[in-house]
Amino acid sequence: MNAIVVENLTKRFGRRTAVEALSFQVPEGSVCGFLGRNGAGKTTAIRMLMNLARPSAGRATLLGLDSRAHHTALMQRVGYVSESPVHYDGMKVRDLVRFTASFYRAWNAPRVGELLDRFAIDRDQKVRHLSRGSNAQLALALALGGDPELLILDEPATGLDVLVRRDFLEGIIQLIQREGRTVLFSSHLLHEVERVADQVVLIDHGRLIHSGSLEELKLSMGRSLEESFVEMVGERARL
Amino acid sequence: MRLNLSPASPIPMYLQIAEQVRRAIAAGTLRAGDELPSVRALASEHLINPNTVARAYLELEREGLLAKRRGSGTYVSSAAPTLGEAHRLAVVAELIDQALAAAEEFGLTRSQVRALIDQRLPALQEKSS
Repeated sequence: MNAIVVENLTKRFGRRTAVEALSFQVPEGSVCGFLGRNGAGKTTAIRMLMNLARPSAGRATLLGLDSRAHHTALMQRVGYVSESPVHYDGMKVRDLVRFTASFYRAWNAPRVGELLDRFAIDRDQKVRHLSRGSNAQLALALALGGDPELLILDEPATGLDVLVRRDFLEGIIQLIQREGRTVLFSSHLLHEVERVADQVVLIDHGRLIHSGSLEELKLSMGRSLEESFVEMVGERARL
Repeated sequence: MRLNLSPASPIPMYLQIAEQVRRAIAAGTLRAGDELPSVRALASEHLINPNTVARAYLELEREGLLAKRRGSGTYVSSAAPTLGEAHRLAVVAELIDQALAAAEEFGLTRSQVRALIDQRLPALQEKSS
């Protein structure tokens, strides 16, 4: 069973093709690193998965449901942290948590409370006064609050300090311990993903370079992920 | 169990884990009947994917080094000490092979190599177990 099936997904902005005929699958129960250089099309692809951008062609199926036709049902089951989470920043943390919870039938309030405590986020603080790190941690706590079957993280901790990045890895590990949960985690920092990913999808210039098991990739290339990536991207650039 | 893992290495992490458990058994740090940390505990401790730990344990079960007990955890199997002995010899044999390859590359003679080993043997501390 696949948690994500992407078929021929394409996005054009005018004459520029940001994502071109992208196809890959992510098996249920895995942590998939979605990797590519800056500007490779990762965010555009993820925005199409989340129905925040309309594909020019192709489709994405999440948890067996079409990402556009079943968008509302999927909101309950898919957690998402974008690269720059936009919160209603005039709100206090406590109000934002309550507001977010109101969209979910099943909301894990104790879990969110635990995470806020661990991240030392003051519930009476206005969201706009939070540091970037706290803002990212808050976004993670809110994404986990809905007990998502699928968690999609778009460069969530890039540029943040090592402790915040660790919080994200811990969040991923804890979620994946539960039966059948799946995580898609995009980054241009390969080593960050390497620790927790068992699957990888590598893209460049909007196109798929490789997808499959990280371990099989290492065994077949006999190289680190970074070296394999450089070799595959370099090969393409010369074509 | 403290593992020393390099996620960025070309060697897949499940093989790194399996090799370190094998070595611990070979060295006698882990003995027959010892319980290993659960997949969940090891994954949380090292912030790695539980699937990776599970794959390493499965590999070691296939080799007969580990055994699962129903409803409890994963243990070092009772057959492990003899496998451990074979593994101990294999590890040292491989290191000797590497040294011999270097000797060949540098054009050393057999008697030179033998002399090098003989010089070092007295320093070997034999365990009285």
